[in-house]
Amino acid sequence: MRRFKDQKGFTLTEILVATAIMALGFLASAQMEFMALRQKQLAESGSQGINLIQYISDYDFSELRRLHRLNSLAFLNGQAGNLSSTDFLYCDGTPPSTCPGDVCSDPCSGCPAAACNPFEVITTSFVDGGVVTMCSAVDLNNFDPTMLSFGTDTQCAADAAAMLSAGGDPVYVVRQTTTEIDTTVFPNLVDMTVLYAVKNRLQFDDTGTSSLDNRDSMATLSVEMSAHIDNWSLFIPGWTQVWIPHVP
Amino acid sequence: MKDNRGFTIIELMVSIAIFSLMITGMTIALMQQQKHFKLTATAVDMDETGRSALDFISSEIRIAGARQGKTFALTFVNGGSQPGAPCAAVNTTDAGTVDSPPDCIAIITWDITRGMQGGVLPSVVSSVELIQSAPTLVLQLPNLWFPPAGQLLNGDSVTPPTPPTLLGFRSRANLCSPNSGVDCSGNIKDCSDCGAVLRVSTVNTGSQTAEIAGSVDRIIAQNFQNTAYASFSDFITNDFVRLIVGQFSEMSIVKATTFSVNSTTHELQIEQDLNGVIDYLAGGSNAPGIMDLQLVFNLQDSDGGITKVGVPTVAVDRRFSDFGADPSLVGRQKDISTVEIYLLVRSKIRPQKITTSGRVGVKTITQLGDRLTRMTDHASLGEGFIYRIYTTTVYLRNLATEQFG
Repeated sequence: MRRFKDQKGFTLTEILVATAIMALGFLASAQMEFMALRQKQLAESGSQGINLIQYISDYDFSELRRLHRLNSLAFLNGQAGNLSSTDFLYCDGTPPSTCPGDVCSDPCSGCPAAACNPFEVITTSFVDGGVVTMCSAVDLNNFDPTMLSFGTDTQCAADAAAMLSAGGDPVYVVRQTTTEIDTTVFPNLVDMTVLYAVKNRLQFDDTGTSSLDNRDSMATLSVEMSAHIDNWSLFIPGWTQVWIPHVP
Repeated sequence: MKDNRGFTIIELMVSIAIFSLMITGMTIALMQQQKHFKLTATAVDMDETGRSALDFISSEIRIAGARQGKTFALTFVNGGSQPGAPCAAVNTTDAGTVDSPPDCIAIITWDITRGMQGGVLPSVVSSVELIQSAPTLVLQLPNLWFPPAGQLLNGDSVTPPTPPTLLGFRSRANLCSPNSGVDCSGNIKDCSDCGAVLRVSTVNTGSQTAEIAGSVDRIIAQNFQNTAYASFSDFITNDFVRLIVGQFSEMSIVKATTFSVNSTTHELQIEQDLNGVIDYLAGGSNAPGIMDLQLVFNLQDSDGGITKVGVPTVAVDRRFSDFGADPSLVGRQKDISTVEIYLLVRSKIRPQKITTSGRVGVKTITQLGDRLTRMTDHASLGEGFIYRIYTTTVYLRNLATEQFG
């Protein structure tokens, strides 16, 4: 019994140190929990964003191919000396009689002076070094890739605000195109980079369309496209600058 | 030891209370983690199901549309997915409405790739040789479609092919064509690039002939006229013999792939060669449910515009455009330029609990093909689930004027 005589409890310092160590442990575990939650949210919004980009790029490039096909049909008719039967309404800037959606309401504006440029579906700049950034608000609860309206930041923000007040769940899709034209070769070669980014409201409020980095977006995707510029004026008068996309 | 005392009951209670709080906190954190893990797994599961199903359908359509010339036909039925009988009946009464079943699509291609993988000789294109037109249509099949067992092809032993179940016919003669300045609208029977797909009744391997008889359900696809034929003999004697047999025509084995959604089991189904055997492709009770399949065909107008088929033309009464129902679309299957596919996928689990106070509101899903709205409180869907729409636009590479619709 004697040996218990001098027993003492923990000192305050010991208790404080032990509590501090334990608190650190708990803090670390809370931090891990928070990190896991954040990573999960990032991964989920990333997959949602990349799905959205996929739908929009599928639609964009199918429209681009469709317009190129109309040009090709005009070329075939011209080659066969049957140009009078070609309907050029699609490329003279007149909205077609039936055309749902925003993109194809006025598919091309340069006809017949310089042929319809299929790339008008995705950009407005056709000069070397031209960079165009456009944005469209998308309601995740009411999404239709054919009804997107690409415009300025201000328009985009206004559209998103309208969606939000109507009970929607808006995100922003930004499409940036960079055009490079190599005039040193014949025919002239076009290299177009299309960068898609999907941003949530916080990311858009923070950086708008000025940063399309991955860290400032839910997801991003860059697509490289090429084309060459041909002269078809032998068969279709005035069509000296026909952009022919290299798409299957 | 004299002054030794144990902990007081107060000390014990306080320490146990603190410890309990810590354990509770940790348990809550763990449970949250578990819940988020489950939600993430659910989302990944939905993505896998939705995207793979969408990719499968779109690649079949893309491959069909990439073939040369008139070697494919696409038919879809608004609200045509019926349990057990995909694409069998045209559902016109409630197509486009909330109660409408999902759409279905049949992709018919000339099976020119047979034999490429080995095992079966190519289904070479043959001229149409008529042996008898009535009462049963009897056609001579090419000898090459009946290789003897054990015959070597490129050094490999081949298995005799199964007799063809579907035969495709197309005329190379342009009886009239909108592009040649001859107006076809007055007589759709004199179509340009006439074509038909028929289901074979029996194949006689001895005489190497195919017999086709019976009712009009033997006619799988045709572009001779837009309305249904009164009888099979009407089809044969009035149009088939005149437009196919009487012209420079050809015949080939045809492959058909049908996609539909079973509204009861929420499965995406596939049927090959319209043989009545329906296979499961995606979704179902042990996976995220495929709740809806909607298709929109975009027809190329000559002025650059698009006419949509499979969307409501009048929003108020939900009328919808359809090749069979809209006179302005007669003969326009050949103008199909792009196909939009929409899949609505529902999570396997119901992570959002429904409470009497209505914590989870009714979700409205809009802009899904021919449907203006779908509500999650509707019997066919269900509240509390996560819903995602998977969509894509498929471009058909064939020149519009060369397609058999």
